[in-house]
This record gives sequence, C-alpha cells and structure tokens, in this order.
Amino acid sequence: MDPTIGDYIRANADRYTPEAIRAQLTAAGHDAGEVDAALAAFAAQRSAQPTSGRAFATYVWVVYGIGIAIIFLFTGVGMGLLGVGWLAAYAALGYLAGRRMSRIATPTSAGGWVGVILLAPIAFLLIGGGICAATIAVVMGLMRF
Amino acid sequence: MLPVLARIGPITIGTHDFFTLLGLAAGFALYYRALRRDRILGPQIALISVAAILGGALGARLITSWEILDDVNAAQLPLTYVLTHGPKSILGGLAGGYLAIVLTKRALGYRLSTGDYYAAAIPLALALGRVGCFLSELPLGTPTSLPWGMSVSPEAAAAFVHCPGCDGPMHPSMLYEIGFHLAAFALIVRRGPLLPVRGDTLKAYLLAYGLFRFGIEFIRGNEVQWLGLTGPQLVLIPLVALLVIHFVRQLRSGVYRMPQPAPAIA
Repeated sequence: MDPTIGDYIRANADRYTPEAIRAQLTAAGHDAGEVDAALAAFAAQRSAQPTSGRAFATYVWVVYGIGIAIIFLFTGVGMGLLGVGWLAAYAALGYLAGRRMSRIATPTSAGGWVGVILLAPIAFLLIGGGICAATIAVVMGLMRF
Repeated sequence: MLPVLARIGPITIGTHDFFTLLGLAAGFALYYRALRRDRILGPQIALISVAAILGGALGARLITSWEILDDVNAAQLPLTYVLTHGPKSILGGLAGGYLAIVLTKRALGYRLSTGDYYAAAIPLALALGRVGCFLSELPLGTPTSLPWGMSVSPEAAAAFVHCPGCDGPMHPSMLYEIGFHLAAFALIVRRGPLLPVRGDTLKAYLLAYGLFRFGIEFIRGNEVQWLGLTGPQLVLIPLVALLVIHFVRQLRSGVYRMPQPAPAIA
C-alpha cells in the first residue's frame, strides 16, 4: 500500500470526514480500493484504543453530578432529614460505582459494558426516586422550599 | 385528532408518546448503523450516547420550565412537578443532548467529532415525533385562508384549555416541519456529509432548522412571550447566533479548503 495514503489519513482523520478524505485521495489518483482499506484499518485501530479507568470514573461522576444537581435544584438545599439522607445515599452509591469503574483496567471488556449498562438505570432510578421522595415529603409536610 | 392511539387492556398508548418513542428508536437505529459502517462503535460511544439521552431528556424539560413556574407556585406544587409534568421542547432536547455530548467527550478525553453520525438520525426522529404532535396537539397553527388550512371538530378543540384559532382553518405547522425534516433527511442520506469537516453537517442542519423554526413560529400559534416573539424564538436567538459564529470562524480559518494529498505514484 502507498504509505502516503496512511500518512494523509492520519494527518486529517480527526478534522475531516472519511468521505472527504476519500474524495481527496482518489482525486489525487490513488486507487479507491486501497483508500477504502486504509480508512477501514485506521478506524478499526482507533476504536480499539481503550479508555482509561480514570476517564470512566469522571464519567460516572458527571452522571451522578447531574442527578445531585437536579435533586438540589428542585427540592432546595435545606430540605430536611429525608432529603439529606437521600443525597447521602446517592453520593455514596456514586462514589462506590466510580471506584468500581476506575478499577476496570480495560473498559473495552465485558466488565466495562456491564458496568455501564447497570449504571444508567441506577442513575435514573436514583434521580426519579429522589424526586418522588422529595415530592412525598413536601406533600406530607415533612419539608418546605 | 387522535390523542390515544390504542388501548390494550389496562394499557393506554398515547399517540404523542408512541411517535416520540418511534422517532427515538428510528433515530438510534440510523445512528447505530452509521457508527457500525465507520467501525467506531465502542464503549466510549455508548457512554456518550447514554449522556446524550440524559441531557436531552433534562434539556427538553428544563428549557420550558420557566413557562409554568408561576402556575406551579400558585398551585403550591413542588418544583419537581416541572420535571415530571412540565411541557417539553425539542429545542431544549437538542440543546441539552448537545451539551451533554460535549461534556462527556471532554470527561472521556474523546476527541473525534461524532456529530455527523446524528445528522440523518435527528431529522428522521423529529419528523416521526412531529407526526405525534400533529395527531394530538392543538392549535395546529395560526388561522389561515389558504386552501390547505385544516379545521378540527369543536369536540376536539374543547379538549384543550387554550386553543386560539381552533374555530376555523389553521396552518398545519407541524406538517410544514415534517416536510422540512424529511427533505433534510433525504438530502443527507443521499449525499452523505454535506461539508468536509467532521460535525459540520449536523451543525449546518441545526442552523437551517433553527432559522426555519424561527420563521414557522410566526404561524405556529404559540403564545407570544416578549417583544412579539414566542418562547421557542427567544431560545433560538442565542442558539442560532452560536452556530452562525461557528460557521463564520470556520470560513475565516479556511478549514473547508482541504490539504492536497501527494499524488499517487504511477
């Protein structure tokens, strides 16, 4: 394979679309089949790069941070014992999940997927549960805005 | 009007909800297909997609929350009511989803622009979602004497607290929007990315939709909020301005003139 094809793809793949790169290379006289093969190989190589455990942990905290922000935003900070207890449980679970995720050495593994798949519904459940608990507490007069 | 699509035993399938879910499913199927085609489907993309759903769901509710805050306070309802029962806006959904994607990519250190993979999926999802709006929401638009103006029965109009213009023919504004999205979808599917820079096809579509929607709002029948503009128009002004600034910067930087590759060795 002509090495200039690979060099051109590596230099421009982050900025330009595969279609545009292909068009440029074929217009310069390169074989379309060779260009397609080089683009496919480059994409496969890039998708195989693992994400660091630290990045996963950051992600977990972003998701949990959104949840905490919502509960604070919509129930008020001084919302009584029930709300504080809920927030504490929520933050503790987020901490444990973040630690677990950060220990996954190769997030491309099945373990990484299972963690992500489990995490999303848990986050939704906690957000929804927190809102419901706060609503019930307001209705029952346990806390005020 | 068809607010309820079907009743199966104790389960009621709302038309709006059905078409919203159908649009999401179709959009994600297209997105998934595009990612597979370019072989970049991986755990990072899965995380970014989950964040997009979260951000979109929150953005759709939050951006319209100010419209009902007074009512919620007057009724002494908890503020959580805004999230659970408040109005939803597709503009808020798009903005929230976009912001969530940007933040998640930063958190993960993911540098590749994935916007173009949504470029065909979003107009298809919005077109399907708008079918649900058309079948279940009133008013359809402002009053019109144009031959394609559509009327609804007094019984259907009576089901809505506010239904200005429902006593005569109205602009079918949702159908106009469906037409726009289908045209954009066909163009993107047929031609592929319209611009050579990654992510700019999606941004171009969003800019076109923003301008189109701004115009459509004049015949949509939404309540005027300030300076003769509706809520969506007020939201669109900064969003469209950001997109215009982006394209001005891109043009000035000369990024659309791609570097020339070395010619093939004969």
